[in-house]
Amino acid sequence: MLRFFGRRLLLLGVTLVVASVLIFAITNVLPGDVGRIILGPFAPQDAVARLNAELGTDRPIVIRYVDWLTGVARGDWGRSYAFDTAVFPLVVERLGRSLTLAVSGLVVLVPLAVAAGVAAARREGGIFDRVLSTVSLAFGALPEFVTGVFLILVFGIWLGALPIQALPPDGAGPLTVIAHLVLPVGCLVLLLFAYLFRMTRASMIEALAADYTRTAELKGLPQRTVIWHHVLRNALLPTITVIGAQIGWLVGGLVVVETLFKYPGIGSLIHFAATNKDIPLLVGCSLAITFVFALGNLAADLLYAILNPRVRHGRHAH
Amino acid sequence: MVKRTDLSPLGFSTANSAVTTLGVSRRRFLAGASTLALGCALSGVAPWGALAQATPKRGGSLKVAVPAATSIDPVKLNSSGGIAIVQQTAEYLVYAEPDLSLRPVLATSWEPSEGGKVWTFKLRQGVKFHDGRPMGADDVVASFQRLVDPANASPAAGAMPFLKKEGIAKVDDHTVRFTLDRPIGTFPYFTHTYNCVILPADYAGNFAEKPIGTGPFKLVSYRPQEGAKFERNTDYWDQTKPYLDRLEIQTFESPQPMVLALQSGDIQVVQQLSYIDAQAIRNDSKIALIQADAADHRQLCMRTDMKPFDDKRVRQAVALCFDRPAMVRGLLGGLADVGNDHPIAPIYPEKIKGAQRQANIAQAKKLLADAGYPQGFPIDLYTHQYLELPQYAALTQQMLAPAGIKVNLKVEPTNLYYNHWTEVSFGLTDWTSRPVAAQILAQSFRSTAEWNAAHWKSEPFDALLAKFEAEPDVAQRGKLGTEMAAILTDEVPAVIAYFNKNLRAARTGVQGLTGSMSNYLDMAQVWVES
Repeated sequence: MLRFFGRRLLLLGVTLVVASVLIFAITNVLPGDVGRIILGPFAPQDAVARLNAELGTDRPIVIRYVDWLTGVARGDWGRSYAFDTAVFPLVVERLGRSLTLAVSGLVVLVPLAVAAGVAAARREGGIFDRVLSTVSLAFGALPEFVTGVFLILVFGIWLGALPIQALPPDGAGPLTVIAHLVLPVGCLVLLLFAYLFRMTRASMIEALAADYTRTAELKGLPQRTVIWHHVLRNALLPTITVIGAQIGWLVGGLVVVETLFKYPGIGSLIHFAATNKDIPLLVGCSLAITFVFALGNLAADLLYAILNPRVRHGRHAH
Repeated sequence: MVKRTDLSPLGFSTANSAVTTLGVSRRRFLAGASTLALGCALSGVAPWGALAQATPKRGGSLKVAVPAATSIDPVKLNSSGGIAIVQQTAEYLVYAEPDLSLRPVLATSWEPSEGGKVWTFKLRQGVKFHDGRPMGADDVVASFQRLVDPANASPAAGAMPFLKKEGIAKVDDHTVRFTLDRPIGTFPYFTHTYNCVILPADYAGNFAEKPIGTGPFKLVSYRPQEGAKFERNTDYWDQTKPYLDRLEIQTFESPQPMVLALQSGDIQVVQQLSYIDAQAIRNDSKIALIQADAADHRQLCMRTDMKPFDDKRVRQAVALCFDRPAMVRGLLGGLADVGNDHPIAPIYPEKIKGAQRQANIAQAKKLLADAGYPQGFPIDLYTHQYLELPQYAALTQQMLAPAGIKVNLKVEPTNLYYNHWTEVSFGLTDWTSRPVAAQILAQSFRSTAEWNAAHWKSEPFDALLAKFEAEPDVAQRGKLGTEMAAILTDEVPAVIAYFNKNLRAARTGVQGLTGSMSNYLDMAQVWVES
């Protein structure tokens, strides 16, 4: 187990280095001139050239990369071109915010979707199964800028019950913070519910029909024990992998949700950095997201190993 | 409020007539504007200043939505959001009102000499920076030298090519003299360029960390992609202002969340929004739309040094294909003035005379045949994803088709388009308002201008433009402007089909908010009704 963990951590380090090289290479071919983007279309060309020289964007990409890498090694992630501020504190603040939203979303989503999936699978083809399958699929198919606007209109404007801006005022208490997060979390849940629900439902149906389930039932085990110890344990495995794979997106990819609910997280930040060719910021954000993504996958693999004795014993055998 | 002595003794006749009898002329302007608003397709649009009726009240707070901001360093400043944030904390020498009269701010009076080549500004006494130090001539000299110094990359340097570092001098503690390379009759307006706020002489480029200005509000905090929080400057030189105790400016990456937040009441003012985005709130009784005349326009530029647009008749044919009133209705719901292929908008004091170009396909076809294109020709049209430009480009494709011109659309991301917009042979570009017409004329049509996207060269035009820039008298400028406009309408380096109007929105209860040609935001005048 320790060796498995150690190997995965080493792999994480390699992933981050490769990612940073790739990001640097890609930013080199992004359209647009940094100085021109910052100073605007009507700034004189010599001002643009001077700013580019000041920022060092006119130097070869390899030199910029080595510069950046030695900076990172010293704990300096550089300064954002467009915001004229240090990258590291900004990225950390935004990452914390995005994690809050992602974790809140998962805390609501996972129990809901898994419970609904189990219930639907146990009475496959029943009213509950059919209604929930159809409704959740409909919501899952709608893009977040539709469901988000729908939620804002209903709960924020018509009913006036919930704040539509997810960022709480400074010094707000936990209840206020939660009230502000309700709508974006609701939007995330509507978006991802169908996916997790159907995944759980399908693997539950499969596990319910499996030989080991029949054996357990024939052994005379109580229904509850069969479901918890035999069916769910096997049925959850693919669901966990799916959640693990979604973490990166949940943290770094929520640009639309963040913009709609005015909750600037790392998704909006990386989107801004990419459109404005703000390379230090873009690389900083990408690294942070890659890190979270890799950690999410690692956590999912560990959980998978704990739940699935075959993986655990397989590792021990080597 | 505004004394006659505060105004320039020379020039700006509209400014003078409008401001000396401010009350009367404002009412007269309102009368004219409301008849205009009646005919306007957008119901519920208030003319500027219509919200300013009752007696101002002190206290309260407001949240204002503005578009995205990048750097808020005034020297490099360029984003709409950044400009709105800086304007609450730092001030200009003068402020151009919605009717283009000049309000004295940090300067109390200004006077030209040597035919407009030298301008002397008297500064307001008793003004303090937010750190308590007095504002004086040294700060003004340093602020302008910083902007035009080639060592600093500032967009302002491009707006004032006639001003050099050596030309800015202190006369005494409250007098500053600008010596220009050549006479500029409307120079005070140039000091209203968005970068030209007065900062302490020792400003070190760190506005986000140390935002020191003289403005009505102190900047308490600024966060990228979120916005800025302000509190009232109790030491403001105009002790009657500002009315608000606190102000928050939130930056938004896209317009839809802004409009939703306005509808829900989370924010009370939207600093600028497009006609399309205003659709959702035009019938909301709790929201007022404020409209301002502007000189914003679109230039459909044709490279006059390349085939097929090197022949004037081809360019005229293109201009004849556009049904301008239909474009104004279709693209902007009537919220624009029809243009005549020159950039001197009706809002400018120089009133331009000349016959309006009407759509005429038959004549366009004849001109094309005369130029050797009886069957028309195929052409790529470049523009970018911004406001109504993609729809404008699609309309161009439709409207040029009857004359046989087959337009192939190349709608690019903004950053990509601005990398080559002056190189393409057929490009559609958005131009924002400038406080004086000379600025747009010089930047887009002077032979040597960097942004002359049509690559058009005309000696008579350049000679007229030099006179126009130098001329302090508005009636004379009107005559020169009419001559220049006639050349542009005949030569058509660019089709200018209309002049946009600006919109901003506020919830009822917000008082004293005015529209602005440049989308400038003056929150010192705004108060909240209880």
